[in-house]
Amino acid sequence: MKKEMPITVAIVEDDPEVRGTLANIIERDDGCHCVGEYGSAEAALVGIPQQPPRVVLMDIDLPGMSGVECVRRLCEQPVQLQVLMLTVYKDADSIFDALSAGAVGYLVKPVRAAQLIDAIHDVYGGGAPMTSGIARKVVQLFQKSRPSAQEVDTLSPREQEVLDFLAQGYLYKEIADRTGSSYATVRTHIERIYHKLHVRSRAQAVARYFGQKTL
Amino acid sequence: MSLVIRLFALLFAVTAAAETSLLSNFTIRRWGVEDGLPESRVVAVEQGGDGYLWCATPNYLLRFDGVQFTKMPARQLTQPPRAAVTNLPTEVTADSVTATMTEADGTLWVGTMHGVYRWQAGAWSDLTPRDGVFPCDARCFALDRENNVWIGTSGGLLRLRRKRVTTLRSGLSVSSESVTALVADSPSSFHVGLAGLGLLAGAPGALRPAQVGTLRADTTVSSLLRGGDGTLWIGTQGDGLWRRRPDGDVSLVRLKERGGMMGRGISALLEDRNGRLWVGTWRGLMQVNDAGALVPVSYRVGEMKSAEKPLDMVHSLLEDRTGAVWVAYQDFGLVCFRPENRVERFQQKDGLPDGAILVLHEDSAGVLWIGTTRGLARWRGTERHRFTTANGLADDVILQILEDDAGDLWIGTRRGLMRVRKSEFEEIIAGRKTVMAARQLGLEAGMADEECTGRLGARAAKTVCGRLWFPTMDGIVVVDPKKIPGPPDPPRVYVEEIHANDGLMPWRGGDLRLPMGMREVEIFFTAPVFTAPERAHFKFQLEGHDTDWSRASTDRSVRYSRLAAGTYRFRVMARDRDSAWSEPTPPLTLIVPPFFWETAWFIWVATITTLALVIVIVRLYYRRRGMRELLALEHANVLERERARIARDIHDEVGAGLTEVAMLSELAHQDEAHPVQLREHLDGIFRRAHAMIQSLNEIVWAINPVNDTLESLLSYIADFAQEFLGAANLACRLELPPDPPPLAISSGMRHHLCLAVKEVLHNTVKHAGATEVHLSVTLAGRELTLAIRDNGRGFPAEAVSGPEAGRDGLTNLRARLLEVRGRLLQENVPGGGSRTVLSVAIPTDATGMEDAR
Repeated sequence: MKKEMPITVAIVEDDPEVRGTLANIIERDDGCHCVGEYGSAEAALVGIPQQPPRVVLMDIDLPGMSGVECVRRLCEQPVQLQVLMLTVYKDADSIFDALSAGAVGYLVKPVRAAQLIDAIHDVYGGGAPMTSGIARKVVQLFQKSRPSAQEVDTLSPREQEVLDFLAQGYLYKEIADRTGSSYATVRTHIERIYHKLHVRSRAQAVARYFGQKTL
Repeated sequence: MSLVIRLFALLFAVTAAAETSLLSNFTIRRWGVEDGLPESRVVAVEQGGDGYLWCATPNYLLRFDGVQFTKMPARQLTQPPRAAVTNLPTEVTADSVTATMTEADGTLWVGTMHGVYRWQAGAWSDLTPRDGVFPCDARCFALDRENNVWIGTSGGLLRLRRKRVTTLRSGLSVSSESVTALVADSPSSFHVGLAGLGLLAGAPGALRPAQVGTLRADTTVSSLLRGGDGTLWIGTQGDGLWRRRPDGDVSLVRLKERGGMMGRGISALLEDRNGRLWVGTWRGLMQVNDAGALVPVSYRVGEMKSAEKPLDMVHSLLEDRTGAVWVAYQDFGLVCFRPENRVERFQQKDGLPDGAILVLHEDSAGVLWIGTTRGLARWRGTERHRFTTANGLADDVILQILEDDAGDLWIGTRRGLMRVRKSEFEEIIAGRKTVMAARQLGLEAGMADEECTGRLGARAAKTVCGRLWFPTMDGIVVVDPKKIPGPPDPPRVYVEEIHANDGLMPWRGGDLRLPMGMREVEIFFTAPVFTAPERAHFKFQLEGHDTDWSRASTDRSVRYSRLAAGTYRFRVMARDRDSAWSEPTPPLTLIVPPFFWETAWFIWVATITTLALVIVIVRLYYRRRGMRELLALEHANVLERERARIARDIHDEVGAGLTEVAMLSELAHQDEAHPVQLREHLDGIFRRAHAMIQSLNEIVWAINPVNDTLESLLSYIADFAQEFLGAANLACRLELPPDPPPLAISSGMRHHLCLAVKEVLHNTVKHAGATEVHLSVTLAGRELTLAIRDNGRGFPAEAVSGPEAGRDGLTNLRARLLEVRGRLLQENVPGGGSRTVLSVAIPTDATGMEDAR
């Protein structure tokens, strides 16, 4: 595993010291390689498509364009990347917004080095962390939506079940035990939930753009 | 005197001629269904004390004012009792008598199914179908105040109006008998000139053409005069003046001057006290001289330079008590020949009316009355007055003037006869009156034609017994002034109905208050008069609207449109044709209510309300401002406390943490050479920093108003529990409302609740020895309950109430809950474990929202 191609990582963080520290931590790990450091969302939107990383560490609070908006725009690019949000505040709304925009996980600063590296590997492997609070929000969002013919608009019963467990505070492992499936299956479900959340979110953005209302 | 006796004899002969028709004494008018009578059969009739004539048909009681029948609320009517009558006409049997009536003078009226019979002065007269009046069965009789006889028949209501005059006719079968001249020597010896019929002689009703020499039979005799020597002077229209001596010798009076029309058309004749005959012609004044020839009269008057013969038509000649002869010309004015050979001429500038002078009359008091085509002039000495229709004359063309034995003036006009008391003129002159009271006689009095003649010389005459003879366009009208009643009493006048906006108002006298919004008022009034109801006049005034009395009119209603709100007084007065004006009716108060926005109270209320509103608004404004200030103050107070809390938290959490970090850094420096201690110190620094960030996170989360929602609180608590318990390897089970309502929770409350939960979880991890913690949140209304249950060993007995455990955890917990007025319950769960229940009411007031902002 360590012999494999290192995971390319880009950092979008306005504080140069934090950015440097983060880059330092990443570079120290054999499995990761920092390919870009950006001080603003605008710079990231220019640099990242030119040199696409596999994982982006994105600060939510950025001067100018917000991290959430940056995520949304990056996810519209035809590049394969996973976004991990970095935030000082465990502000459920903005985290959820970021996840909706296309991020697949978040870390609360300050992070321990090991925690950061684990998260990068986790996200790269397709894992998506989801807390009960986020799960609750996802459930609420999909409940509010009206029934639609499109599959992406609705959650499958199994996904719904996973979300319910998450909302009740169960860990992935526990959910796997409860549902008689594997840890990987649970993660896949969560990945798919995230995907649907992105699609929904995009549809919403388009709808907003045309002044319509989907909710 | 012998004339009087003879006239009486004549009249007696007429009445004594067996049974006569009532038509000779009465004029008849019938009112039937076509006149508004609801049913033709009239079963009872009576004049009420109010002056109305009350009639009953089988089904209705009717009130009649001479013009209109008004249905009155019906009652059970009783048939008038039948009287027993004897001495009936042969065709009347007692069985057939349906009604009777006795007049004050003893005249008896008998009604039968076949006709009406009257017994008076020992003779019967009747009214039967052969008189052309049908039906004339009498169901009932009544006498009104005007002495009319009313008869109810099966075919309506009959009014029998007494003829006040007798019309003498020639007896010739001619359609019209325009009397142009008249001289009566005795009741059986008349000489009458009828237009186009020559001279007629004989008794009334049996006149025969009188042969006057070679005078054409179709001539018109315009003047007749019986001279003192018995000579009959016959003036004609175009055929000159003829003379018939008592011996029967008839001759045409010779004209001294031949040629022209002068002396051909004779219009007036006068024999003065000296026996001189004055002849008025169409072309000037003439005299018959001693030689028996007709000669023009020349005279010099006024500005004339020499004696002239004015060639103007003479209408009338008069010798007054002083012997002066007055000559009335068509245009030349009035010329007076004084006995002392002085001639005077009077024209318009001398006070003569501007019309032609038609007739002259000197009354018993020596007042000269001048009838003109422009009214009646009264000359007394040098006083000159004129009266016209404006003063109540029937007409302005005065054709005949006579004075009866009672001293009343009789005036013949184109519109009938008038009798006026001379005092009436004086009243008018004195300004006490404008309209004279007069008795008028016209068709209703029995005249065949109302128009009197006189233009061409026909003169009215008074017989020795006081009867008055008036030549008319159809016969000679004979009036006995003694039998003509004086001016009637003024009629009574009534307001009958009031309509508003074309609807009948329920009004029974007294004041009338109109319903709101009704501004169109029509008032109907009447005066019950029956002799000449169509000639009754009315004047009215609506005080508050009319400044003066209206003009006299025969209208019996008046309409007022768009009356303004207010109080009005309506009065009306009436005048019968012959009477003076009645007293005005008592004022009828009419109240037109204002629209509610016109009323004083509304204006007051509106003003007061507006004022009050302004005051309330102003006060409200200031109160609100005060409230706002108070709120702001309170708010400031809350903020103050919140700021103090945040400051305290930051000081406690961050300050203490940083101090610790600083001290640990110092220690790390000192222990640079000892790697184990150094790592411990650095580890400590990281932990403290991490904890500080956590604290800061919590503080910031709590302060940020975006998180002032229940949802945010629950999310935060859930995430915290999951993370915290996960880190402690405790299973976390959450049970939260799936979709919490959007309730606002102040930052203070959030902060305290979060810390309380944190405290509880901290204690659980630390002391309970549990493997699973169950956090459930329920919301009942605004009551938020957080229950934390574990599967550990439960609270030690002393931990729940003991001083040791309490000091550390519970006291803090209680203090926090006290801050938010929450309650705390801690208990051991049967079957193991413990449970902590935090409950708090989420305040509704805005301050909860605002104090975070």
